[in-house]
Amino acid sequence: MSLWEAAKRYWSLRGAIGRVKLAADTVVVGRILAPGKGLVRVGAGVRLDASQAPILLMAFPGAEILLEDGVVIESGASIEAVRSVRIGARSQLGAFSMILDNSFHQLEGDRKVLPESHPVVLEEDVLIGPRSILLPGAHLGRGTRVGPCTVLARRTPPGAVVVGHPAVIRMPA
Amino acid sequence: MSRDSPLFTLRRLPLPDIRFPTIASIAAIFRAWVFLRGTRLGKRVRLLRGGRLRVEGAARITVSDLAWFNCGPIPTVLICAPGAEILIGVHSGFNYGVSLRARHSIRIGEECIFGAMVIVRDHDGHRTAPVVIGDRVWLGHGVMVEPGVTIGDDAVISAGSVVMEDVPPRMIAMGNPARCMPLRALRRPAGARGEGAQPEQAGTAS
Repeated sequence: MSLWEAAKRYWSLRGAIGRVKLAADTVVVGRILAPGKGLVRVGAGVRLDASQAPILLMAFPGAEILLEDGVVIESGASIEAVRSVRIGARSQLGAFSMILDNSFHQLEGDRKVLPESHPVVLEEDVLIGPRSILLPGAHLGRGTRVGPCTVLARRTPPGAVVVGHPAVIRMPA
Repeated sequence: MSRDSPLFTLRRLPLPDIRFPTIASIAAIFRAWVFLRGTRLGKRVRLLRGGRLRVEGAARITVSDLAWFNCGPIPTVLICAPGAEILIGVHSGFNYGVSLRARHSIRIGEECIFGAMVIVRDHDGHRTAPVVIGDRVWLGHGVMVEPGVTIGDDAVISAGSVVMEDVPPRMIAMGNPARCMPLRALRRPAGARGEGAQPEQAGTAS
């Protein structure tokens, strides 16, 4: 890696120093922010393309965000983990998509009390469309395709296609 | 503290209450004073975390006491055209990337919580109508509020919804376009419905 490339990489990752351990072959474009004190683990061949807007990888203390091999994250995507978020190998997150494993406020009562978190799991080869939102408890089976602007908080079977808000889960024929 | 201990789940969010001034809270108040310069600014308004906040038409924007802005990767935008007004109530909070765009008026009540990337605007290409948001309203991530909408007190708008009609008090609205149901009718806790979802079954998912 040339000095210029090393400097560019440092400048991209200046919001994530000491929080994210990247592999040597991780492709980073634009800014990555990791303000939380939790753990962010990145596998081999991950591509973080934040050319339009920064990517937010927020792991609260004690939480873990796991990006497995070959994951692609597009610009403006944000992952907020209070407990754990796992993104399986070769999955892709679209632009400005959002993954939360905690809703952060309760529906009734004191809104400042943190509710229970439900881990979000994406198995292998999942495609998430741009601007879609995965809420606590989402568990996407292998090869699930999620359309743009979908809001989902369910378990989906392998190979399902999920579109819309409220989400409709379909199996392709 | 163990993740599974009950104290962990009952932990309070490190967000609004300041009882004792700390260096971080004084810095947040100073940052708000800098970025919100020119607005009618209440006491102890805070800009938590670093990030950009853009204000246009500052003289017609009122930010009441204890309001907080949580800045992040995407800039927060408050735009107020000449002759319009934006009023933000006491102790309301805004996550990153919120944009409020007013050509007539946007009024936000007390103790509201705005998720990230919420868009509230009182004009689309065709009409201009005031937007009123009540007290203790919680708007989830990526909600869009259309012109002329009134949201009642204690309402909850689910993540990703597009609100095109009025929401009565104590209702939860979800979907695109948003449909209302009473908050009391929602018995299942959030996130606890992973099981039992069958393929080819349409269901609300938020």
